[in-house]
Amino acid sequence: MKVFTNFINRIESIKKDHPKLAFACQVLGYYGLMMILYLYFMLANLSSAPKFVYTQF
Amino acid sequence: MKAFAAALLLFLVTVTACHFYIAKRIRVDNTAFSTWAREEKSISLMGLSANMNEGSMPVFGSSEFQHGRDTIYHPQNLFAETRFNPMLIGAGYYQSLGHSITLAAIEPSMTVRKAVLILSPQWFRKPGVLDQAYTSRFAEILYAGMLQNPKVSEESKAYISERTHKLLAIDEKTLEHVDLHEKVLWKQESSEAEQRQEALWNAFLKEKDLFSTSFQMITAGIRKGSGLPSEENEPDWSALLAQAEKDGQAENQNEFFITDETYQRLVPHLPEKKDMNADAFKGYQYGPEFDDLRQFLTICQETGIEPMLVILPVNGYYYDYTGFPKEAREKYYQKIRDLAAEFDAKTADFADQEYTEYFFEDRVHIGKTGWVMVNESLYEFYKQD
Repeated sequence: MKVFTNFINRIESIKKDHPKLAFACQVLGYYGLMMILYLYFMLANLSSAPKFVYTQF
Repeated sequence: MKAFAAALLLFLVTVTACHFYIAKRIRVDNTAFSTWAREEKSISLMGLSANMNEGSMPVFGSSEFQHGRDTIYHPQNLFAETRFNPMLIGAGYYQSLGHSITLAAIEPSMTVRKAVLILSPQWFRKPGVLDQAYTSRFAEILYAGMLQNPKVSEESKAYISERTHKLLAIDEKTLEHVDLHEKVLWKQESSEAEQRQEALWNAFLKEKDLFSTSFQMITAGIRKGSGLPSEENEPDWSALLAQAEKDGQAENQNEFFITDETYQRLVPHLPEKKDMNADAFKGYQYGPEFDDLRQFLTICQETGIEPMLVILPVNGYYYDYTGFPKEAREKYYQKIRDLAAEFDAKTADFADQEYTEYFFEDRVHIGKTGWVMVNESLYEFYKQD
């Protein structure tokens, strides 16, 4: 718990001391999340078909 | 909020740039994509359409494409430097119905107005294509493409729709999408909201197709080329056949003339295979696959594509061992010939090669000699006026 509160306090102090850096980090965070979602939808198998196991004739 | 808006803008710029790069990259201008024997490629409308050039001829088949790729006789290697560009479409359990849909979807992009279907006798088992197999190979984007082709008749769409609904019953989610495509693209009985939903979903499927196909092309090492060779570079068929026989003699010394590796895997099961099909008097002669094949030929007729059916034989040595009656085999071949004649379709008939040594790699898939003969028939068909 202490580690977590220390981490939050540290983030808050960075936000106060370096507002531009904090903004850039936020943008990158959102951007990263959007890209992960995009890549998931582009590469995921969206079919709900039961898995077909290929067996030789 | 400002940070989110900036991220969204950055994201949209990235995605747009990716789209244009991928759309340009997916067309490779060489034979690497067309002879790439990968299942995922066969369901890519964007990849197939973008790579149809003046040397491309679709060759529909099934699991044989995944066999013999490490030999010089596989089309992937044999046609690597030719102007002829066979577009291999299929993998295990692809059959006539799925190929009918694909042909109807890619037909508008075809310059060479010919198509080949390599028929495996095993497709013509009594149940026809299995529902799980069909579902696993089904591509919504190709289905929508088939519905959008104005040359495909109402009757053909009705037949394909009926079969698809029956076989896709195990995949409700995809079936819902199929119904939406049909309502909007075919039956014209959709609301405006449904039309918007379908257009949006179709655009998403196309983008997904572009992205995933390009991703697989990169991982497979398929790179952009500098165009097709100006010369035909016809392979020396008699030299290849002699080489295939020589290679076969060196490797396949067993009773079925198949590769030693597959023979060794088969040996423990041989006692149970002996005469197991002795009562298959009607084998490969009845079942829904014949109607599905008829549908493929109908699509060819409706879209002005000249078809050729490659009639693959069974491995005579192995089928004799299992007791599968010769008369049943002969009746199957004749049924295919009759169907081809009914549609005025050309055939490359290899029924008389049942006992050609080294024609097969294993019990059912063609090998060295088989590939040389089939490839020659593809090339000759492509060259005919």
